[in-house]
Amino acid sequence: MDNELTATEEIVLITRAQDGDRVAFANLVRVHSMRLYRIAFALLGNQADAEDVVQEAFIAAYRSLHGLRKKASFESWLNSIVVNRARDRLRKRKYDRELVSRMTKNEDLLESNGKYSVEPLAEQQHFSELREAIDKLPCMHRLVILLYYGEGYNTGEIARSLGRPAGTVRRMLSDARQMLREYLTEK
Amino acid sequence: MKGAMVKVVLPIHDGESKEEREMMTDDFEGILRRDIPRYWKSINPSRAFLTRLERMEMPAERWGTSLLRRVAFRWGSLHYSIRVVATMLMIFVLTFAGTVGVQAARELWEIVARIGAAGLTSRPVVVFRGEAPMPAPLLSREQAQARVSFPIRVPAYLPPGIGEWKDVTGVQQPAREVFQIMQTEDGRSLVIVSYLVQATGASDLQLLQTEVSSSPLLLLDAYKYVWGTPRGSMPQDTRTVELKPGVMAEWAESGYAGSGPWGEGDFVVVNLLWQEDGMIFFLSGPYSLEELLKVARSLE
Repeated sequence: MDNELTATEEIVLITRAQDGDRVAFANLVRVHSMRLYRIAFALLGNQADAEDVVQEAFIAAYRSLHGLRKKASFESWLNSIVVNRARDRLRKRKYDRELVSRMTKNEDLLESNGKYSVEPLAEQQHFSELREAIDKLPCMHRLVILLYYGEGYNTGEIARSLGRPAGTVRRMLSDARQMLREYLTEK
Repeated sequence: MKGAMVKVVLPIHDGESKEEREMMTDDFEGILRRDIPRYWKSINPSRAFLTRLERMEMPAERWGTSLLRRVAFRWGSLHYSIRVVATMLMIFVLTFAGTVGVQAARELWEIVARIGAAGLTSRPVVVFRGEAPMPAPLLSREQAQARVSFPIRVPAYLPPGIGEWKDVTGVQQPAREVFQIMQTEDGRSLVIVSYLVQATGASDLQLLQTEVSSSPLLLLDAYKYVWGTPRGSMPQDTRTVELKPGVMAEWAESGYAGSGPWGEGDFVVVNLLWQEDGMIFFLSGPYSLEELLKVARSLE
């Protein structure tokens, strides 16, 4: 979290938000927004989409917050909402791309326009090689490795956020490391 | 960064010593541990977005409500005499309102049960009124997709015992699922995906999907209206379940008696209704809630 809360403070905020306290929910938004944005961005590679997804995710979370029983897992629950929304958007993007491709019958034109191409992950030149290598990873592998090293999650926490078994996440992490190593070695 | 990368290149060769590999592995791991957090923290949203988030208005309507919990919470802090008077008043009001309200609710649920609707949602769904629409021709997925503007989704997971459609008018070659398209009153396309349940020999498992719209509220499954008559005046069991994080679904188990594609006698239809990604989905079939959830969660 970017603005740290103790577990107890967070549970108090969640309980108040479940009772309809919008200020409490706004505080939760403030605490979690940065991480959620990064997750969305890691999957979508696009600022506008990432912002939309985070906003939609908070609204969805607010609507279904009353159904949350395990308050201690609020963070991974929020993460999983963002991951699901982002994946929906990726699916939609793929569909749009196929639709446009069918309509124009010219995928090359589409690519050259760059309308649907994924933007670079970040602009800092300092990280350009690492960024390029991470950018080449499949999106879920990218997210796994970023959450592991960037957010400091363990594989269990990542598994809960992605809604996948921990064994699968460990394998993805290992594969992602291997792919990164290969990409960086090519440099 | 570049200098550190050289160390990563070296241990790829065969014949390296174990110590070398471990050392290089540590180097690589060290690079990841050092640089990825810096990179991660460098991904930041715009200030304008953060401001927008802070000012974001949460919707007034929420799926379900914690009203009861809020009332109960505040109830205890009221003065005893106020609580007594309020209780008397509530009993008085409920006695009158109950008679009218229960009757109205029964009538509503009677309609809901007859037409096989899963329940009420916070957003409008599809409305069929009057006579049931004529059966639509069977289509392949490609044919159906070409006629609607949204991506048609089908489940990756199906319960055991789903057969193949063959020797049916409109089905050119054996298919796991068939598609039909119907029009709603407000002109939207409704896609119906049907699966053959071998045990009953009928299309008991169906997935309906259409886009969210602002017209009013019930999902009516016209087929049930035609072929089934309700066994009771309301669904026997209803509840709100979490389909996946952030996506709630309404579930209802309805009893029917009659004859038709389902065969003769009593039967139970389980319905699951939810909204996701601007679409409304309605899944019905003679399966448990858990089984339907597995199907619903596997949509792709």
